[in-house]
Amino acid sequence: MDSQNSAKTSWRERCRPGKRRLIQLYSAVLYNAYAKGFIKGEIYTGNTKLMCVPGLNCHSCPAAIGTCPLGSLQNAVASSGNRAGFYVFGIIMLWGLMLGRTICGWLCPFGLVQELLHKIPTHKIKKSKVTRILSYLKYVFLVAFAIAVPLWFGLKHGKVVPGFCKYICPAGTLEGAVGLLSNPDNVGFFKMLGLLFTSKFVVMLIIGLACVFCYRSFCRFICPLGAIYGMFNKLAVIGARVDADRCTHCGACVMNCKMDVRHIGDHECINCAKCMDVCRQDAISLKAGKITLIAPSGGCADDKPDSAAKRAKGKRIAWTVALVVLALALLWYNIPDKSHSSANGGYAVGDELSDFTIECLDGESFHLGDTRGKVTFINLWATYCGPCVEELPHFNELAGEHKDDVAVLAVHSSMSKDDIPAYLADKGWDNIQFALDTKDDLVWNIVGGSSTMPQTIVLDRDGRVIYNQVGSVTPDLLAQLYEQASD
Amino acid sequence: MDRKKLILSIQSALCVLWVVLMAAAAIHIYRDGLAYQAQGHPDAWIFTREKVTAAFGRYLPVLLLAVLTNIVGVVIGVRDENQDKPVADPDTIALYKKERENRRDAAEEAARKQRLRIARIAVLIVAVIFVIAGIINGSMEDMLIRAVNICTECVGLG
Repeated sequence: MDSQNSAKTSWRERCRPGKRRLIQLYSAVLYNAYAKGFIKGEIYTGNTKLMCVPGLNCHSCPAAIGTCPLGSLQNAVASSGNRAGFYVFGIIMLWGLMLGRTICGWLCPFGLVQELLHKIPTHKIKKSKVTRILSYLKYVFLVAFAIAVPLWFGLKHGKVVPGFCKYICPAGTLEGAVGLLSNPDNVGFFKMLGLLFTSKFVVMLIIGLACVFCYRSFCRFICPLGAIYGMFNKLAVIGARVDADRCTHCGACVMNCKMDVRHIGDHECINCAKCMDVCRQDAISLKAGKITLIAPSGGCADDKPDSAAKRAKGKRIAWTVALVVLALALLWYNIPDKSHSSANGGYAVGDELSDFTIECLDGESFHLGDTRGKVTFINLWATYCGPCVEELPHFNELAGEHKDDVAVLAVHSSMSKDDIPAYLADKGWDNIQFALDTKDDLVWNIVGGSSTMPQTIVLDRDGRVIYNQVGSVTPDLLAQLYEQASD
Repeated sequence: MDRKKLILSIQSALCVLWVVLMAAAAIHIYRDGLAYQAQGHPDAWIFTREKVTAAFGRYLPVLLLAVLTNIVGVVIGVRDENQDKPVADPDTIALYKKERENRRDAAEEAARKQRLRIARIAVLIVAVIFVIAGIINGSMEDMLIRAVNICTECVGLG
């Protein structure tokens, strides 16, 4: 039907976005309302990140104003040895219960990306028995990468490793990694790119290509978040509903659907409501409880004479409210930005770092001025940052080798709910002085601390910065920096 | 081969080609960088803005050609018409035939809806308890902390 129409309609009509596309676009912009982040090359650090957005949207994207539910879930699972991540579980359950996979179809920015890629006119691979079998693969990804990997590293090694984010997530690569790298101010981030970035970049390209040929490939075969929401789909308050009295079980809805559904509203159904166009019985509608959100062209069976008019009025009000909310969000996040603390400056290579004193976890004080004549390493870290924890033994080793010539201060981010002394108790990193940054981020501001960790700052014997980079360090690099600072 | 099929084939080939070239370029930069580091430059950067820009620029004509073909395809209404045809999967047909024969009666449907309502309320209660427990045990703040202090590995930077 579409193909016949496509020849007759103008390209403008064919490209005109539908209701669903506009809502997808709306949610993508709303989730990423901190547009200023792209200009600054920094992520948003305000309190709205206390809330998970429903769709897959990397919270490392410079513009993201909320937290990614999948990333948070993995962090929560990884930390389950310390604290059960009830909050994230609860929020995901609430989203699932309210919307189910309607989120995938209407509110997921990466769903929008996949659908736009599929618009590229190429040969297409249709659903089949193979794709139906592959659709169960996302449950494997959920269990293996989003649960087992974080759980294993968290419990066994005390490290936070969000397996899916780290090794696969194309949304993270696109929005987080590429988003941060695209800013000229973050040119230093290129230093840390290696095997991990190369593999994730290639994975992103392959997934993108798959989406061009096969409708929503990531969503159907890989996305663990879709797998979770799929489990809630039948319970969800909002979703596609079939009028049992009108339905003749002809199966046209399922046979025309591009997802691997067996029934309307099952775990694969993203409630996109496209099946309404092919249902000749007008049996399908999109409902929120008893309220009809989208009715079939012939109306619903329980419609009253004024129902259509009421729905039209409701839509107008909803769009008005939504647009006002979006405008306010864009204004709020981009003009009166109060969340980001300004750094002091004087931390670039060649600068002399401002003096500071901070109380260490062992009760002693670290006074930067006292380290003159020594090579000083300042490391910004956190217990929940995998690469940070991995590189601290290298600092400890270096400080042990050059006991009277090197000072190492490892400053933990002020934001922490963990018991850091207890965490460090059995590590044996005795050559390092550990401190928790002050509430107003004293050290972080003085050294130009980034919201991405780890970060290492090296000062020569005169207190001048010779190195200030985000990213992991190796023993070789540390030895080389020591030599450089000693010259 | 008619004009539309030709455009579809060209566009398919261009998409595959661009992805292969970009993936190969990334792997090439990585391997080159690694080899250079092994030659006694351990602190040399594997990826640099210049290398990435040069690789992207090298294959930009392929991308531009793909974009151009895309625009032409959209304007003249080229699409794989096969994608709009229903998939007459025998399993689905059999499933719906069976359902036609065993239609649920009204009582069964009402009981199913009742079960759903109970399950919904149960899940809602559990979810609300979890959220409150999360606020109390600090997992809400934990989530914020990890969303504003990101680790470079977690987004695939390294």
